[in-house]
Amino acid sequence: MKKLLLSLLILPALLMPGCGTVEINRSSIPLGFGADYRNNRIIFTTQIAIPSSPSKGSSGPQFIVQSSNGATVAEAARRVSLSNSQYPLWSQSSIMLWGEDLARSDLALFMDFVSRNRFVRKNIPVVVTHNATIEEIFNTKPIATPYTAIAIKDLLQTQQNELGIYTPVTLGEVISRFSAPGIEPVIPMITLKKDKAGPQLLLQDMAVFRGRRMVGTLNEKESRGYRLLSTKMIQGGLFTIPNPREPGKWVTLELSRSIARVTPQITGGDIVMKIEITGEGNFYEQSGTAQLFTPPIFMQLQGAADRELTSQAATCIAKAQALDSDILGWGTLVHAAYPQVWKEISPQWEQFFPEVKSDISVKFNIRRSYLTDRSFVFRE
Amino acid sequence: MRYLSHKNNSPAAAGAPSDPIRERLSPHLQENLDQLQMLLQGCSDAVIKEFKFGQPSTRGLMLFIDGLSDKKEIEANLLKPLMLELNMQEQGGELEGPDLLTFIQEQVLPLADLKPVESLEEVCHHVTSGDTVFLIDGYTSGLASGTRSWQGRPVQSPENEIVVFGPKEGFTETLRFNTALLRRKIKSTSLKIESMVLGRISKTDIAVCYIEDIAPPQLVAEIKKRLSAIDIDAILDTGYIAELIADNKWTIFTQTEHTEKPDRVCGAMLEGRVCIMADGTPMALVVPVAFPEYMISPEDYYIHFIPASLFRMLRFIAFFIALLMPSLYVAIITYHHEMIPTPLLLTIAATRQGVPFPAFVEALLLDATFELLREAGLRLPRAVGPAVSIVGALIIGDAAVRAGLVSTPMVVIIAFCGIASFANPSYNASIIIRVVRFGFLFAAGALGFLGIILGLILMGLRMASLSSFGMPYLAPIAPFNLQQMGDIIIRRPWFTNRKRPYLEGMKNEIRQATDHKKEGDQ
Repeated sequence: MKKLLLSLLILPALLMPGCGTVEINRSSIPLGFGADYRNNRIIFTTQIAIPSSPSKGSSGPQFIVQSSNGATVAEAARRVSLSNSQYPLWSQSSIMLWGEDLARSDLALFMDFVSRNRFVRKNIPVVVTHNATIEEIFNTKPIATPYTAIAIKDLLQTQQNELGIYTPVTLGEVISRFSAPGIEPVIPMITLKKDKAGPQLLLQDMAVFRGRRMVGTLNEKESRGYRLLSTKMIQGGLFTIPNPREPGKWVTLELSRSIARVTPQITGGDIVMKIEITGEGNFYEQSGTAQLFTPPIFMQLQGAADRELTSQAATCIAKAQALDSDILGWGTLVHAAYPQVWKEISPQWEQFFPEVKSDISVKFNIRRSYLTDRSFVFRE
Repeated sequence: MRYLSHKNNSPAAAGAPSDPIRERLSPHLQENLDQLQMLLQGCSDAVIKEFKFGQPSTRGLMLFIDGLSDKKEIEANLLKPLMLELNMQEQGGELEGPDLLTFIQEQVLPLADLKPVESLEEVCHHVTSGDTVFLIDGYTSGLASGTRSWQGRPVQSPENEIVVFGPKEGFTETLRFNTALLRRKIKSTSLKIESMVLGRISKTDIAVCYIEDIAPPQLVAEIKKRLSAIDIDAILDTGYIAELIADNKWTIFTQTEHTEKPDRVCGAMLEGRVCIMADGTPMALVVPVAFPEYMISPEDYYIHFIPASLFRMLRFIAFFIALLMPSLYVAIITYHHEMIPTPLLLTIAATRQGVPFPAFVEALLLDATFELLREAGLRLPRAVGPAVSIVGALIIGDAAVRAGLVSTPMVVIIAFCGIASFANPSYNASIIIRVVRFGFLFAAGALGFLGIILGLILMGLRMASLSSFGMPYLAPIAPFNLQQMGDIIIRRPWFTNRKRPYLEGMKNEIRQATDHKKEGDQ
């Protein structure tokens, strides 16, 4: 009898969903969100999906962009609920945007929120906006896909596989780069370009950070160099070199995979980073008619590719050293190779870093040429 | 063993025979007749025929039940020899031997099945079974002749266990036909069909069938012991027996397999199991059975082992789908939104707009409706069946979605789950799934994935604690047996299937010669 009474008490309690769980009916789905900093207020912007059932069809945008401001990110974010009755499921957000103003002022305004918040996924990419507010970015109607936030996420991935310029970075990685000594974050930037049909998204440059704020940008070539200098395997992308037999014409090569091995060496008082990049790829296109597939020309092609990649890496290193931001993580490499030395120099790593020398060697192999190994022959 | 303790003070069945009926028949026919007439009072189907035969004429009595016995056979093989041919024979010579009854049994009646009866009880039993009993004045015993013949269903293919390949015949309501179906498949004297009678009033014939060299003797003994401990007024179906002889009675997990298919029974007997059949029902009982075997269809063994294995895996998957699909959906929708990819979540959210119920209530209502439709569909007269299915499935479902009472994904989930539950070859297992599914639904509604995991653990514990005639209910998964697992998830090819699945105490494990080529060459 006692057992029965007890179970009668427990059963209804079990049927109450606990706190913090919300039925989907009462939730909104934020596809992405971002924060900016203006007039000493955090401006929090989120793109919320308007689910429309496929049978009914829809016209107009399938999302709504909401903004609010507050002294802290959390406050600003929750102020959205003054105008939106639904609980946002932050875990569904697929992109996080930082306004350039926020990035340039002080990221202490934001990092505590994202590192503490258990709803925001750490594997979503981070993008810094440039020349456009987050609201403007989110209000852009993307091409052939309904949601801007998802489009930005896909954009990062697609350009990396197809073109190979910018390296996407996840929130988790940004957090760890901000907190780890000897490595600084670098984040792709997005802007808007004018188009006949209205503004369109455009990935352009990468934001370089030092300490708590953004200090500069990498341009396209430097971004390519940054990607090449990654010590992880990179896959996909194109690059163009001068045609060795026809001046003024070009040859495009495809990078199928590449990896950089960076080993710090301390000789005398100097720190030298020995960088070996080994990559391979395919012959993709030439803008001429010369026959390039002869052994000597082939060696020339590979040499030209090596030079191009070396120059990309070198410009990136130069820019990083000019900005005095160790985006390449050389500090961590020194730490791993020479722990004792690192202990001494780590407090002054910012002074050491611009002086670090580098020795780049690139070995690029052309493997395939797709459907034909001859140039295109016109009927004369 | 509850019924055992009750046995001593078991209530006397209404109209139970009093003592005189157990005694030997009286030598005076008139006394027997009086007794019988008293017993058969109100039994309008009983036919008592008095007649005289022989020289000097002797009084005889013939007793049978109209409708259970073949009247033509009685006339041709009982009455005619006695009343006509015996008289003719008499004219030629003396009546041989001192014992008229033995003489008649051995020389007069051209009947194959003749048994002596000694008491009124036996007389009644034989008569109500369809035999014809023949008594003669002056003897304390009579003769019962097997003239059983009644209108029964012919052997048909079972409606509930449909197979594409393999034998299609099914058991009928007549025990003798059923045992004959078994004997036709196993033409060996090792196939033992032991009979007993259960049911104080119904006196139902029960057959315990097994293959002597294969079935473990202690298993057969245990089954017979449990059967003989049954003291109940009637056995109308083997379901009574299944419940009465189960190891663990207070559980939804049934520990017996019901089947209408002789090939399935034979397959089980060849694995050392024992089959219990009862007169009056086509359902045979196979014991012992472990839960994983509910996923096995006899058809698996008739088709090629690769598709058979794939189908079997599909059935295991279907089992989990039928068991967990609605509860997983409820758990995800209510608690674990993170699990759903954003595009899918958007689709679900779009369909759930304006649905007034929480997902749990929605699932419960729809699932209950589905069960209701299924239950109604079972009992529907054939003519209205399709109409109600259409109303139930299409109109209610579609209208509910259109009215915004339920969301479309939930209808999809429940329908999918319903289809998956029909993929199970065993009706017993699908009943278990249907019941336990609601438990999981409550667990998911209360605790999400945690609840489902808890439910799975509890179910696993409960199942692992059960046994069927000493065989662990989850065998061979727990306790794990790799060799036997080879024929659970997949169907082991016949050419590697050398051993029978081991049952405790089995002596004859080898199913197949170890070297085929040699056998073939010789």
